[in-house]
Amino acid sequence: MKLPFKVILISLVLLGAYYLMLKVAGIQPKTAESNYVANQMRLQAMEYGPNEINIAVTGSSLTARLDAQELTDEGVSLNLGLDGSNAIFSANELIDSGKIPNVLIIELNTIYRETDKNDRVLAEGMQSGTHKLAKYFTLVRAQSRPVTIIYSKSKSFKDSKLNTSLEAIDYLNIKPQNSYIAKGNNGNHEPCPELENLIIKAQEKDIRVVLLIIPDGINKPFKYGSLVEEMISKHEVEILDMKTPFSDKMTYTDGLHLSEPSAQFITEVIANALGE
Amino acid sequence: MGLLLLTFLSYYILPKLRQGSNAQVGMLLVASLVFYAYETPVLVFLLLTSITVNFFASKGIVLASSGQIGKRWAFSVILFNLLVLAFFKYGKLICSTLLPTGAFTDQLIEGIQNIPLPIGISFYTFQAISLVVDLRRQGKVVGGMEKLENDFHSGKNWTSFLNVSFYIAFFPQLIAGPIVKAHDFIKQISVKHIGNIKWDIVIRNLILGYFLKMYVADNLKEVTVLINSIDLMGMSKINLLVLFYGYSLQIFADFAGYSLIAIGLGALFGYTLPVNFNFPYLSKSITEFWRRWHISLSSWLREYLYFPLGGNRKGAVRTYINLMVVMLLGGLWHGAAWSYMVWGGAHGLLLALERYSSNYTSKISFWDSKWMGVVKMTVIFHLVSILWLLFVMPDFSKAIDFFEAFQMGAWLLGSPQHLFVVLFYGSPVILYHFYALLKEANHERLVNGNMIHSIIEPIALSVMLFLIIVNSGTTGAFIYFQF
Repeated sequence: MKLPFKVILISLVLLGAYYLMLKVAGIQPKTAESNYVANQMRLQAMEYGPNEINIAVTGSSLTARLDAQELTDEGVSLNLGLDGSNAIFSANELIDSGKIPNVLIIELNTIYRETDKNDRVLAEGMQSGTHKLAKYFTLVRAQSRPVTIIYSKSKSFKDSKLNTSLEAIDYLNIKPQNSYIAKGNNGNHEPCPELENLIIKAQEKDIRVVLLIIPDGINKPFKYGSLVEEMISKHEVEILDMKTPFSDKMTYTDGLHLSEPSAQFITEVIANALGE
Repeated sequence: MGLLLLTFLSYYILPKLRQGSNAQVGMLLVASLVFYAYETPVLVFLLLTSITVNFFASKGIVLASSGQIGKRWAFSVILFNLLVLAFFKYGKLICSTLLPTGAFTDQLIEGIQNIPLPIGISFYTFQAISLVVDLRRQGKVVGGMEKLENDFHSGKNWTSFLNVSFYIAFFPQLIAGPIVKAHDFIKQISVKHIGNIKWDIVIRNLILGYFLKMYVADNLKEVTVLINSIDLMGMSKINLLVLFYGYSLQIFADFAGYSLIAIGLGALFGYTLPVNFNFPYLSKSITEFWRRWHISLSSWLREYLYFPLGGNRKGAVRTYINLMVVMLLGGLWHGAAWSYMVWGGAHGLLLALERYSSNYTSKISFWDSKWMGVVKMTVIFHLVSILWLLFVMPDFSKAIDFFEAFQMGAWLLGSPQHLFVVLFYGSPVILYHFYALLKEANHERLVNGNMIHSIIEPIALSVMLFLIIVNSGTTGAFIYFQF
């Protein structure tokens, strides 16, 4: 048999076997070896997933660690925390796509981050041929990349050693609040029209907006407290502050991002807080 | 992809319709021009101008009534080619660094600085020069000029407008090489039949090329891009080393990948393009490195610059000077920044030092031992990789920052993410070189046996194809497109 035929035949067998393996084992990577792939994975989950979404988390790599599947028992939840980005890009992409979640969580830790270039690359990537092809062929989706799966599994294994005694922490009384007292600054903050526009846009679609402050390993009070105060008073949004009560109880992989057990814990707290 | 398929089908239907090589060449030429014009259509006019000028100069050389006139034609058109290249490629650099302040109006300087670099200009200009020089050399052979004249009148080979255009613009090598020499390419022009396609060569080169580009280089790029985008000062030594090795592996995979794709596409249309890379990171000297890296450029420089300058025939000192001149210009060919010239100069200096020291090293008994070979390979790889930093950071201060950061950084791993990326995506390059090492160490049975050809090669190519489909990186332009 000639070389080209052998190659085509063996490749088809490999692709078929790999597809079956993914299907049977239900393997899904939680993170990726590169920021771009991680973001692509989350954006593809949004674009090619179901239209009915219960909870959507938007933010940066800090929120990307949260386990979306555990956020709710009812319907689908999405994690659109994007590495190197912030909530503005992904939340707008979500609403513009016509997929309206019941609850939109907006991470505030990175809300002022300059993300122009990163977001442009992501937006261009969403127009690429591979991205469009991924709609029909799950094998070319970011979540099917073998190296990404290996990285995600090895990271989970490494993180599992960072476990702390999280079971002992009582979180049942943590609920979204309608008020907030700033501690981190003197009531001054830069205007954030992108956030304000996003909140207005979401509320026009009857989406419940919850602002989120996530533990970030920084041993200082949250800096944009006055922004939270302003958004609550102007737009009647809710706030979930996970940083103040839990920051020192969490473990971090690089001093900044939650380890997997800690992210799992914070996911549970949010799920409990948003549950009726 | 659609254009390629359409071109391929039409190209091989033509002989069935009793059309000759001209129809096939014309078809490929049109496809090449469409391909070139795809991104920036206006640039096709520059390419067509270059083709036309070089064609008429070739005609002038062939029909010249005396050798002196032919020489003038050749000199003029080489000068034209170099001036066009200098204007588009180095105008910006000359304006910003060499011209005295106030020499031109700000508007003019700004205008020159905003001229886009026509893609592939360095490559097709060198091919055009090769055409003119080869014609001159052909004419000097006894009976050569008469043959060229006859060819010209019958519209054949070297002097046909179609063939000259095709030679300069053939799309697989137009953008980033391999640089093809006229005397190697034009003789291949003839009617091509689909039954004569060497599918093994096509498949082998295309899969390996796309694998190196899309799986290795594009995935490594996700990490190496950090060299230019973040503050290096806060990084640990290990993370900086990861970036350093990562870029070295990436630039090889990116450029060798492109060259293999070009060779594969050339073979698909019945043309043999020269091998451009021969496992360069196995080199035991800088001289050997340049026989293995970007072979088509180094052999072009050797044939059309180093030898005409006198090569090594005019004494030791002149040889060192020639080496320096060739490498400085070779460096500058890569880009309009002083760092490229320093890069070329450093290579030239190393070549000269190597040549000088060979008188002494040849007397050392263990110099050619196996273990010394490993040491030399390691040293050369690191020297070459250090100089690559000038490629990725054409801004000198940034390159210096890298070394300062390395000196000051701690020996910490930091995030293992980058190490994972470089290990996972860089390992095929290492394995690829290891395979060549076995081959070069004459383990014939291991690398050339029946088992390799009938079982291991198809499996390896299939795994590569599988990884191209399921694990490609973000599409990025080839590094050498900018040159």
